[in-house]
Amino acid sequence: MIWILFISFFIFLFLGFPIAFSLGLSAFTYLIFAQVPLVVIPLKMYSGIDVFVLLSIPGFILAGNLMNLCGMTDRIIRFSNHLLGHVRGGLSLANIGASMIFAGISGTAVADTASIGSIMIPAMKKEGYDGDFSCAVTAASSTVGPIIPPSLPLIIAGSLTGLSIGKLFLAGAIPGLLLTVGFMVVSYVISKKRKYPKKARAGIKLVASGFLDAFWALVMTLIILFGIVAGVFTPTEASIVAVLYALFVGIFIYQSINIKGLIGVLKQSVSTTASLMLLVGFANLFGWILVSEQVPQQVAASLLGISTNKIVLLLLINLLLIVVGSFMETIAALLILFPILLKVAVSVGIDPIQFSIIAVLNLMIGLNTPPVGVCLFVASGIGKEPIERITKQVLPFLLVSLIVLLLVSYIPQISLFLPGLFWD
Amino acid sequence: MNRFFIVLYKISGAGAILSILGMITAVFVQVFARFMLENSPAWTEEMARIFFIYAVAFGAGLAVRNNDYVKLELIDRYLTLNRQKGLKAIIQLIIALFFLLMAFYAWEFIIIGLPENSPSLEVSMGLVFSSIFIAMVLVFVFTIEQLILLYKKPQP
Repeated sequence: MIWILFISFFIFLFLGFPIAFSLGLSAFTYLIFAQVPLVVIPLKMYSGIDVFVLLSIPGFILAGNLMNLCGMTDRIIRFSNHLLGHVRGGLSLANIGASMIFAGISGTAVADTASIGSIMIPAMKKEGYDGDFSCAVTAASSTVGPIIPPSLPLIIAGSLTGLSIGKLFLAGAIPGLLLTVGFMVVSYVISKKRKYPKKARAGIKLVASGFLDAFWALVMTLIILFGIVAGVFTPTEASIVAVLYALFVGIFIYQSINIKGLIGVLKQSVSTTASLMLLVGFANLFGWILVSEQVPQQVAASLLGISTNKIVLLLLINLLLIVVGSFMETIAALLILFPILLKVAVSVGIDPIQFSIIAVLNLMIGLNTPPVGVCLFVASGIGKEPIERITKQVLPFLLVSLIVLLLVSYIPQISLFLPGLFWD
Repeated sequence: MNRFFIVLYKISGAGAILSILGMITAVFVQVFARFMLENSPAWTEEMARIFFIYAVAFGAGLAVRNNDYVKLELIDRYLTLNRQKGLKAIIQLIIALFFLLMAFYAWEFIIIGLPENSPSLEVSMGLVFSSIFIAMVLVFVFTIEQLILLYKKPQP
């Protein structure tokens, strides 16, 4: 019976239905066969969306869009360009650096690909980088943001399971830095081989003025980060403070926000939020069906049936999450899978904080995993490059991600060192 | 017909903006009250959640128009242009029918909520649940618009 749910989901998905509606339609198909009253659909959608921590999603999306509107994003990119422009392939490094500073303020990796990509991909092409490489760098680097704090997926993971969001944030810092450095090395080596351009070294004056320009953006990240880690704000409150802060900077410091632009940004942010929330609502329905069919218990039992060895089990879970992450939006995947996988992981002695980082890292890698990685599709849409060519270019970055994943999986200190300094 | 969609789009946009501003205000009051008055009123969280779900309701239709629902176009590039168009039409027709049907069940959901009141603001839950109905109707209407556009607009 439960197979109807999965099979119809994949049919809808591969025909080209949006992911959110594929979840809804397959749940609908299942409910008809199972003869469950269909009023459960609006009910479960409502209960899935009516969650206070989810209010941080429009908050962070709006803050990110305001950063774009008031020119903060441009300044971040310019600053990282001043810092890194003189290195060969400097613009690709700046792309990665900007993603790190942006650090998932905008919310999800898919949104990061879209907002940084729409600036960086045309700029890189203009300077003589190959289009497919520009798209690949953007898609890869946007997966760094959600690992480096502040991170929306980690907020969701924490609130689903009651883990401390502050600890999760600190745990993501070192893995995120490893990814950033790894991506930069790959970009540099490729750029050197293909003789991509470099610019004259920016003088210390230019770097300094660039820093002053980007300063306000950095402060925003710090407010969110310390607000949440120190327990001053809940994530939702922090996201709204970020919105008000971006508004303040845009109106009074950069003086670049007008009413028309503001209205456009508000509308666009609500639209993006709604598309994610319908996904969350249908995912909640989907997850409810799985639970009532006791699928999580069966998954747990069969995982533990294959092996109770920590190393083998982690490898299996990693594979599962990468595959799921490639076609499923991160937040929906977390809602459906994270609580049960966490239970399995904890039962064989893996630290829950470490496991959360592993899970989010996996889902991020999934976003860039061919043939279906969602970020690849988004980058392909923005850069107007065929997906097959981007896929080929993204492989070296994927390799870096996988190495970092293995390191985080098998060396607990990478994720647990920083939280251990502040707690325990 | 065209005018109908334009007006509805404007209404959804206005609803979306007012709801999100309401949500921001409610959360801000909560933060402000905690730091300045040292205790925050109980209703801020509930109010923020209600505004949020209404923002989602109005935004659900906007998202159809803005093409914000992420999808994987896996088989499109193996099809001829005409077949792509046909497939798109079928997909949109199925989505429209699904949301039309869901609107009826969402209506039933409102009826269930009517007699109950929310814990701190004491508004009828029927009113709160109406958000889901609005979302379903708006997705239905704007998907129909996409379907019409598909056959009206000359293919690029």
